[in-house]
Amino acid sequence: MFCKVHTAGIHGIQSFPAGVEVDVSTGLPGFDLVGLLNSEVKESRERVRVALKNSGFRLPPQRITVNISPADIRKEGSAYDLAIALGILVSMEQLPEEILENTIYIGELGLNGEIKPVKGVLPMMLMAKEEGFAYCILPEENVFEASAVDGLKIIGVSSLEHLIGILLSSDREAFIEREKQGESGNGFQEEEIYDFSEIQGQELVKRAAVIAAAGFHHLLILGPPGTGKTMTAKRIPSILPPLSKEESLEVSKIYSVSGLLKKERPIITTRPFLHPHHTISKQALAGGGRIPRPGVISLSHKGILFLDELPEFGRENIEILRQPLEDKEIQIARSFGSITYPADIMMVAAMNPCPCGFYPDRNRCSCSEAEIKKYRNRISGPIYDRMDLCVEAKQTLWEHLKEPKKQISSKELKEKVMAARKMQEIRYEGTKYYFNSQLTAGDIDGYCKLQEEEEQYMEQIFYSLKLSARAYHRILKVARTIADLEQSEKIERKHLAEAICYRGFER
Amino acid sequence: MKTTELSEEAYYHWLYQIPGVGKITMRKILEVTTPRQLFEEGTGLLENIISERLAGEIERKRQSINIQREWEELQNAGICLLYYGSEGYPSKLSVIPDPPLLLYKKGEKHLWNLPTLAVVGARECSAYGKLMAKEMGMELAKNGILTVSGMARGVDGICQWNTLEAGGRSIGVLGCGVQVCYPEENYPLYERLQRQGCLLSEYSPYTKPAPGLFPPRNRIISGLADILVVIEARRKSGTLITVDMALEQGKEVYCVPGRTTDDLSKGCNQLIKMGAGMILSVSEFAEEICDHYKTIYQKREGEEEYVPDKLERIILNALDVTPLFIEEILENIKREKKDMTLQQLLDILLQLQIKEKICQEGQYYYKK
Repeated sequence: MFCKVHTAGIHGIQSFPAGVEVDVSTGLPGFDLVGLLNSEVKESRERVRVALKNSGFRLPPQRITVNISPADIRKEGSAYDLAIALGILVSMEQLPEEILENTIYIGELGLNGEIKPVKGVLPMMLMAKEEGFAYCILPEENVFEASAVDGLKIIGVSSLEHLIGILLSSDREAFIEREKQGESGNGFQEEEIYDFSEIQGQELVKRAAVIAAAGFHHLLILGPPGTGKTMTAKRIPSILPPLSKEESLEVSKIYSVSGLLKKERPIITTRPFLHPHHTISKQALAGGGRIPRPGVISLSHKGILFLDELPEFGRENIEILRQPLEDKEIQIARSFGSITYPADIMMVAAMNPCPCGFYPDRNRCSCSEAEIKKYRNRISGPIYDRMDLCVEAKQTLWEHLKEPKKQISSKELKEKVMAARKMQEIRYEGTKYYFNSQLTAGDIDGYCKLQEEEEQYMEQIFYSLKLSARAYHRILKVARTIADLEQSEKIERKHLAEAICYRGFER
Repeated sequence: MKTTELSEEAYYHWLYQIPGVGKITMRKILEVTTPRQLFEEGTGLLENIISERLAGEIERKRQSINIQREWEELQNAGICLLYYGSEGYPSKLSVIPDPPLLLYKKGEKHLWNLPTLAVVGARECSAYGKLMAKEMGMELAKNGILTVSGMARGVDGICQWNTLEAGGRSIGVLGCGVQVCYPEENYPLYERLQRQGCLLSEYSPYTKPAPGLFPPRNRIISGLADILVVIEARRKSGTLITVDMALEQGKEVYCVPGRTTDDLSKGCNQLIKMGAGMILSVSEFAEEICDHYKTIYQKREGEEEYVPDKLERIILNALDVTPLFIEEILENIKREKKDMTLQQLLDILLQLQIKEKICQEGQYYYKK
C-alpha cells in the first residue's frame, strides 16, 4: 500500500514543504530510501528499522520504498525520521490513513523509539502556517520554540509509543500544548551586564557609539592599548533599540536552523552581539562547510559583529566582509546550489593606530611611516570605506582614574537613541528603510536634503578635502543621524561638521 | 675596437665596474697609472700593487667588456661621471678629507658654486620636525639657496621636496646607485630632483642600498654644503655622523632646538649645548644666510597674509604643532575661560583645514 506523510525540510534559513512517500509491497524484501539525500538522511533507514522494532512493530518481509519529495532539493538533517516511520506504519496498515491528513510530522528517532529534538523548527512552523497545516507533531523539546508561531495546533511527543497512543485516542485535541502558548516570545528580557556609566572620560568615543547605535552605522575605534576600545564596544548593545517583531522572527529563524535557540527562550528579542576571536576560520565567519550553516556574520544579523584587533583577523578574513556589508546578505555557493543567509549587521571594529599602539605620540611610538602604512594596509581600502564612523580613543587621564565622576548611564543614552529611532521610524514609514545607514545612494538626496547654505558648505569641503562620492554619502547619512539625535528635521552645518570629523583617516 | 675617441671617464667607469675594485684598490691603481693606460697597456704596471687574482680579473675584463657600449649606455641614461681632478668635479669636495674618487651624477650641471645648505634629521620625525623641515626647505628656496640632503624618509625628504615646491633647487646624495630609488615612497622626489637639481652618488649606478653605504655618503652631504642644519635627531642617531663629518671638514653647524622632554630633540639640544648655532626662527635664519651670500630673495606670487578671525585665533592658540586630541583642544579652550561646544569647535577646525592652516589625523589636529 502507498501513503504520503507531510514533513518539512530546511534550505538556508527557509523551510520548504516535503513529502515522504512510502510504498510497502510484495517483492524481494528490502528497504530503499531515495530523493537526493545526504548521508545523515540515508542513515535514517537503520534508525527507523530499529526504533520500530523496539516499539513493538516488526517490519514485514516485504519491499519498502521511501521517496522524499521534491526529489531535486538536497535533503539534510535528521528531522525526516519520524515521518518515514509513520509512513511505514500506515503503509503496513498498522495505523489508519486519516492520521496523516492536515498534519505535519517532524522529529528524529532514537534506537529505543524516543523522539529527539531537531534544528530549524521555527522556520518549519512558519512554513506550516503559510501552507495551511492544522496540526504539527514534533519533539517535546521543540514545543517551546514552535509555540512562538501562533495559529497552529502543536503536539509535543517524547517517543513513538507516546505518539501512537495519541494518534489512536479518540480526542486528539486534548493533547494540544495550550499551557505553553502565550508565554512565548514576549516578556523575556536579558539583563544588561555592562553599562556605559562604568567608562570614565572618553566622551568622544561614547558620542560616536551613540551615533552609531542610533543610525545603525558601522563603527571603527582606534586607540592605544588599554584605552577602553573593547569596553565601549561591549556596552553598545545596552543602548541599541530593541528588535521589531519582524526583525526578531528573522533573527530567531537563523538561530533556529543553527540549533542555537535556547530552550527557555524560543524567540530572540535583543539584538545579537558576537565577538569572534581573530583566529576564526573563513567558513565560521561567512558560513558554509560541506553542510552549510550560517556563519558569525549571519548570526549577528540585525545586531553587532564586534571585531577586536581588526588587523589580526588577516586580510582574507576581512575581505569576506565586503560583500555582506554591501548587500546585507551572504551567498554561499556549493556544488549542489547556493544558499543565501541574511547578514544585515552593524560592524564594530577596534584596532591600534600602529604596530606599537601609541602613534601619533612620537615620544612613545617609534614606528616608521612605512610600518604604520603597512599595518593599516592589512585592512583594505574598501573596508575602511564602509566604516561610517571612525573615532580615536585617548589615553585615560589620571584624574579620571583617581576621582571617578558620575558618568552618563546606558539608560540615559538609550533614551537619546530611542528618540532618534522614533524620528527615523516616522520618516521611513512605508519604505524598506529602518535606519539611516541603510539609505541607498539614490534615496540619500531625498531623505538627507540640504539647504542651499549647507550645500555650498559641503561643496567647498568636497573639493578641499578631496572626498570620494562614497565618503560624501557616508557623511550625509551620519549627519542625518546626528540631526535626528537632536530632534532636528533639518541637517545643519554643525551636524555636517561633526559627521566630517568622524570620517576617518586618509589613505 | 675603436677606442681612441673615448674620454677618460669611460675608462674610469670600466675600471669601477670590475668586482673587487673598490675605493682602496682604485686609489692604489691611480697612484701609478690612469684607467686609460691600464686598459691599453694591461696590468703589467700593477705588479706588487694589487693581488694576482685581481690582476687576472682586470685582464679578463679588458677582453670581455665592450667599453664603448658600456659608456654609451651610461650616457643614454643621462648619467655623467666626475672623477677626482676632472673639470666638472665639485671643488668643495676636493678639499675634504677622503674625497670621493668618482661621482655619478644625474641631473643639472653647474650647481657646485651656489651657496648650499645641508639639511639633515631623523627619518621617523615628529609633526614638529615635519613642520620645521618644510619651512626650512621653503624659506631657503625663496632666498635662492641650494639645499643638499640624503633624500631619505622624514626630515631629509620633506625639506628637499619643499625646496622644489617653492621653486628652488636641491641635490640628493644617495647611499645607493643613481638608477635606484630608495626609499621607494620618495619616487616623486627622485624624479623631480633630476629636473630641479641633481642626484649624486659615489656608487655605480645600479648599486642596491645597503646599511654600510649610508654613513660614507654623509661626508659628501656635509662636504657639498657651506653650513649644516640639523632638524630633530635622537641622542644616538645617524644624523650625528653627518655632524661629525661636517665638523671635521670645518663647516658650521646649526640646530633647531626642541623641548627637553622630546626624545627626537635631545640630539639637537645637546649639539646646541656643545656650541652649535641655534635657529630661533627659520625665516630669519634663511634671510641671514641670504644676506651673507648676497643671493636674491624671490618672493612668489599670490601669497597673501592670513589674518585669523576671533574664534579662529582662540582655536589656533589652543593648538600646537604636535598633534592634540580633540578633547585636549576643548580643555585648552576651557582653560582660557572661553566656552565652545564640540560641534562649534569642529566647524571652525574644518574651516581652518580648508584654509590649510591645520592638519587632521583621525581626531588629532595640529598646526601646519
